[in-house]
Amino acid sequence: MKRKLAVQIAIIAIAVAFILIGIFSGEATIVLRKARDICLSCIGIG
Amino acid sequence: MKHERKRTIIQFLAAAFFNGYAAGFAKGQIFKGGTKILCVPVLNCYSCPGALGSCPIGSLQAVLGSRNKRFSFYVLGLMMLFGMVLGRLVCGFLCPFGLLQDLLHRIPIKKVKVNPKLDKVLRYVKYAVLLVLVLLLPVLIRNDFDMGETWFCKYLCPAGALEGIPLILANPALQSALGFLFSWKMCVLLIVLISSTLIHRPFCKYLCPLGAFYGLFSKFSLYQMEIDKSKCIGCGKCESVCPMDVKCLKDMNSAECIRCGKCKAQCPVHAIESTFGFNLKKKGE
Repeated sequence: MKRKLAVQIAIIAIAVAFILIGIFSGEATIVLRKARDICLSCIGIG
Repeated sequence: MKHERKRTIIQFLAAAFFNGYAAGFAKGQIFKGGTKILCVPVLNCYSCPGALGSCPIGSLQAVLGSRNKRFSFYVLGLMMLFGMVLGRLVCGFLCPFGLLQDLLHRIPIKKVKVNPKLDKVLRYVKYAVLLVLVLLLPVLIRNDFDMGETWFCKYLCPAGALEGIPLILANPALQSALGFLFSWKMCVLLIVLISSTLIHRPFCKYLCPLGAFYGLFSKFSLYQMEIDKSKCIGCGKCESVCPMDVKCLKDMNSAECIRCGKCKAQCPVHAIESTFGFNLKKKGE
């Protein structure tokens, strides 16, 4: 059980760290920019 | 209220919440607000006119395929967090494309039982889709501008094909640009929709890269299913009602389990429980 708890905490900590690194490296802005335009390939055009 | 009815209501509410920009359907435009900086936990195309957030699989490929990018900390971090907190509960209760497959399966026609050996092999296809189409190809195949394509979205995603239809219907400029790719995606969509009437959730079982990703966290996610062996009478009802054909008695937290809770609702001795949080109890306590 202790091992499982350690894995759970470790994965959540890594996930939060990844999110923060991503925000500070401008990835969140890329996501917003892409999502604000129609993704033509997603809907089957071009 | 019966469990399945409750679940269906939650699924409809979630679909409406993630696609809450109703004006987009009328105008034939997509939402351009700031909430799209966040990924939703479900497979919901950001080109759906109603989408208020970004699809994690689409966003992941978009960042991986961006100039000078080979990894996406932000999207993978969000997906890991969703996977750790909710796991495949997302598939069972929140995903609009899961809801659609559930509804189609209710059409009263003869159902198909996939050969167990073939089924076992096909279950691995979704991991190949995640690895190859979502993670590798956008990074490895780059154009002259050092940009990669969104391979899964472009060639396989039926959710994007479906959710793009209202946009195309309301937009003559998009209609004039339709070609082979659109025909291809409509074929994929039709195959998935027709097979959903015959097999329970074929897209979730065999193709969905997001379900594959969340499945990796099934053993550790904060939301867990538990079976009390002291109460279980081994009747097998849980396994017979499972839409994902999980061997509940053997592996309650299988990567295939979408946490729909049918097993829990059907258990005659209430031996199955769902828990949420950091479970600090030792087994047997």
